[in-house]
Amino acid sequence: VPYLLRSINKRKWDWSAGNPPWLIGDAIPAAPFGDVSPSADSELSVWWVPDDKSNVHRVVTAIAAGRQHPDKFDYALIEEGALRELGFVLQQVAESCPDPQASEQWHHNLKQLTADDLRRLVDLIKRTAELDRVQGPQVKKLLTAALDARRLDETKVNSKLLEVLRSQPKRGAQVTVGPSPSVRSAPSNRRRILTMARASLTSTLRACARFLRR
Amino acid sequence: VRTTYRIPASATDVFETETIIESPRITVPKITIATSGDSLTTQPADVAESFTFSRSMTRSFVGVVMAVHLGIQPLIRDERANASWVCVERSNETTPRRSRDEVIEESLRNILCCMPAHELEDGMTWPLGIGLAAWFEDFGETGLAKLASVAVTNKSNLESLSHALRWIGRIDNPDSVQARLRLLIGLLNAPSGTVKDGAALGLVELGSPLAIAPLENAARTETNTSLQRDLEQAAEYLKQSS
Repeated sequence: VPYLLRSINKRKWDWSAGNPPWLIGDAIPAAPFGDVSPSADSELSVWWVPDDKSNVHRVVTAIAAGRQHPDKFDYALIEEGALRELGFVLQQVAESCPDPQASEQWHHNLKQLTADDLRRLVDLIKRTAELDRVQGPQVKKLLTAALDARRLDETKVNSKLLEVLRSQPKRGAQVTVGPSPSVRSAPSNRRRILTMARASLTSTLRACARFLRR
Repeated sequence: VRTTYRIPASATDVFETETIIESPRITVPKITIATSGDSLTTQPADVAESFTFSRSMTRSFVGVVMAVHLGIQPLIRDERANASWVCVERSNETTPRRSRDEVIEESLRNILCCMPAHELEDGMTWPLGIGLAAWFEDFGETGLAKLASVAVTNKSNLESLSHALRWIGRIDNPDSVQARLRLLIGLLNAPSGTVKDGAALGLVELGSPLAIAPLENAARTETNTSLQRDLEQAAEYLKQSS
């Protein structure tokens, strides 16, 4: 059974009857609707995934390349057949994305969506979809590998992300990247030297201030 | 005998800026030294007879250097050299002095609120990360204790806290790995599922195998099956990567 992949936040799909306590009967909380927010044309972007799920990592990489930094990636795999049975209109259309090949092959839009459609879609995802996650460091590895293999169009990759991935001493290595290029993200030897220099300068200035106060 | 000196404006520039004491919210009104027709000089200032002009200049210069280097108000407050500091001190007399603890908490809240809730998405929290890394550098382990108490008491936006905990795991500071590990492991018992998940994600980012057992324990006691699966997956990932 082929699937359609939609990027989500798993914590928005944790509800059940009586959890949260204010949820009565089979009501649906509003939170998951944030994950199926359509475009101005009432279309929703989804990616086609074959039965063996062989392209999931490629699709995850293509989407994650538009983000500012590597982070965990949650997604839902919705059965294509179930969607079609409910009367959803599905159209294959490429979108502007850092992996143009992937987009051409697998990107689809759910079209002509109404508010009722969104409710049925949320209900369908909750009941039948497989929710899964790719961990942050794994996403980083996937992105690095895709850049090395030149699968990503670097002009379309988020510039901050590119900076983070390029700041690694060696691509593919397990390195934690600090949030900004500074003393914190410098190599350990250099960091120690910089920290010592800064500490000594600050203490000298403080001593001068104490002396002058006296 | 009182002596009058003319102090060049360049020597008093440092006192003419808005002075912020401890918090961006408490702003001392801008203090301007009235200038005479010549923009390069200030009004003549009275100083004690024993205070020489050269000494005043030296102190002002050190003040300027410190202000430029540290980015904070100069440590030298010489009321004799510049009467404006007397005004600053007097205006502060009515402001209650806040403890360091309060300062840490307020700055943490400011960081956690720096992004609107609707912009908090996976992989899109760079501003939060930069703010948190700078905050961590300033307050270190004391700050981590405050972050833990804020997270446990649900005093802040939970999604924002979840992202903050991931950033705590990402900070490249080998000296603080143990403290960050303790914080994140402790928060696996937080009342909120979102915070627990953030802690687990932070542990994965930290990459320490010491987190495997606590993650497995947290998964065993978790009642939310989806979150339980995520905790197990985090432990599994750390096992594989170690």
